[in-house]
Amino acid sequence: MAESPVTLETLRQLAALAGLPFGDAELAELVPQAAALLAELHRLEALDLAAVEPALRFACLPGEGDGG
Amino acid sequence: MAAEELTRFTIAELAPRLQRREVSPVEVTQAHLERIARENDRLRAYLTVLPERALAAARRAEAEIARGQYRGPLHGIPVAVKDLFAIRGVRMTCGSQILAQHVAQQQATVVQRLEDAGAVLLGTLNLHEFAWGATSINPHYGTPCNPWDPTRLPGGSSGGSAVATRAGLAMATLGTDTGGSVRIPAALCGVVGLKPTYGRVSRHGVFPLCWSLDHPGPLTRSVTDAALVLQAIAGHDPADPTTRRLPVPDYAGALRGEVRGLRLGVPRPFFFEQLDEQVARAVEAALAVLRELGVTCVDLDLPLMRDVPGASLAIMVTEAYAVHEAWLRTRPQDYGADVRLRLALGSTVLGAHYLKAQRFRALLCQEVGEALRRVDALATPTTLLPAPRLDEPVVRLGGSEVVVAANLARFTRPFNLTGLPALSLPCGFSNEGLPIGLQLAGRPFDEATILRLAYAYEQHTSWHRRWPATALGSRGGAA
Repeated sequence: MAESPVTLETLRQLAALAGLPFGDAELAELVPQAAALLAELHRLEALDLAAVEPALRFACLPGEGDGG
Repeated sequence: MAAEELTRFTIAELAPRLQRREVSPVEVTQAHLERIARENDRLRAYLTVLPERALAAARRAEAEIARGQYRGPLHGIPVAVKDLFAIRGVRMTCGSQILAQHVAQQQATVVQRLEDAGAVLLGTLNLHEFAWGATSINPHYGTPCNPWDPTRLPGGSSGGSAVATRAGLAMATLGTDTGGSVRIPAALCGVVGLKPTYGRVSRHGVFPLCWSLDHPGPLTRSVTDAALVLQAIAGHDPADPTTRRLPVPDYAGALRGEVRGLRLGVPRPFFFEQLDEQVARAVEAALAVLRELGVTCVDLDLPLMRDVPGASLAIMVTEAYAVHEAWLRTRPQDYGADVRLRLALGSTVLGAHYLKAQRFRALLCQEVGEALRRVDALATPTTLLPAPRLDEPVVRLGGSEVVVAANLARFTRPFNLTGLPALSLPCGFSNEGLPIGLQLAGRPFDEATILRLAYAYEQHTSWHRRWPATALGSRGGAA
């Protein structure tokens, strides 16, 4: 099994980039959760999503879409 | 009638008595306020109680009914809402320290609709901090107490809503459901919880957890009551552009329709794996009841369900991070540890990940939509297990260790991703006396069919009539 690219150092850099004042102890707790989420997202690559648009909608003007 | 008895009716039972003026809304409201005053320290269901406001509303309802201006089945009915629905001028904490002193300046559309229907607002209800968690363990306000067993979780995030409904502290409540937060506590506390279709009920004035997955919905003591509350809150709202301009059916009127001939899909892979044996037995028994009523049960496979947890989490953490980003930078110490960590996870998800999850979501909608062309609704357990112990974060199921908090929403969140209507109703009890939930999910905007199936089942069973001993003083049993 490939080693996860999520390490404490990765999360330190992400936290710094996001301006989050999180210490190493908390970031260390986050490492396995972030690694598990990334692994689950990688699994989605096995699906054929090429022709699938994201489930998002946009309307130019409020009330223009079928929801308005 | 004794005051205590007034807290044990369903809405459908009490409404005709209020209309005929056999009972006054003031008496009913007072009975509930007295019960809250007596029980809330123990049950921790309410965060804010509004006695003066409630009694004023009850007196108005009494006067209107006396003048013949009866508004309908919620007129004079005491209700309460999760403490993230804005009530103008009332504290709205979202179960957090961050908003501990926040007073709502607006009124949620659904709160206004309840008041327009004549309902009496008793107060706001405890929840998992910012609605992000399936347990309702709350480090700031205490954990709502499961009325069936105080050593067990009430489920969440709308834990206070389920506890208040089951323990006689409100006749109906509102919660929000982003991954199961109405249905999970409904199942664990033994009430009916309905998550309507995304776009059926307005989110305006509801503090968001995740814009694209949040669904407000009712928790009630019967299926009929769920239909009555949904009737009051459903429909297009110009203030929420995701609500749809579709007619709102007569939900209560649709309950008595025939269920014979309906086809119910049972997706056994995923939804019936790694399941507590007592839950499996109760759900199979419920399916047998539905078959006796003429419903055809069809086994299905929905292979994409296995990828739901990752996609769901990616969407939730990204959107929730966007909601909380500023506070997370400036007041991280004011969050509970579990919520702070979950929010921080949002900083690790890339935009491309989020969009991949949203593309998966579209694919999932196609798969489930195709299944719902072959069947009228789906049936699954609501949760893997009955209410877990507060001190047991990991349990053994099917020979594996299961982290409770991460898996309580396993069967509910697929219907947040698809936006389909889904409800949980009581379908049995464990040997330990804990309620078990059956989940029914339907086609988009077809709440009426799942309500009809649930009502037919409920008419042939009595699980929903059981009251916990804590709610009856020293004795439990049927009401």
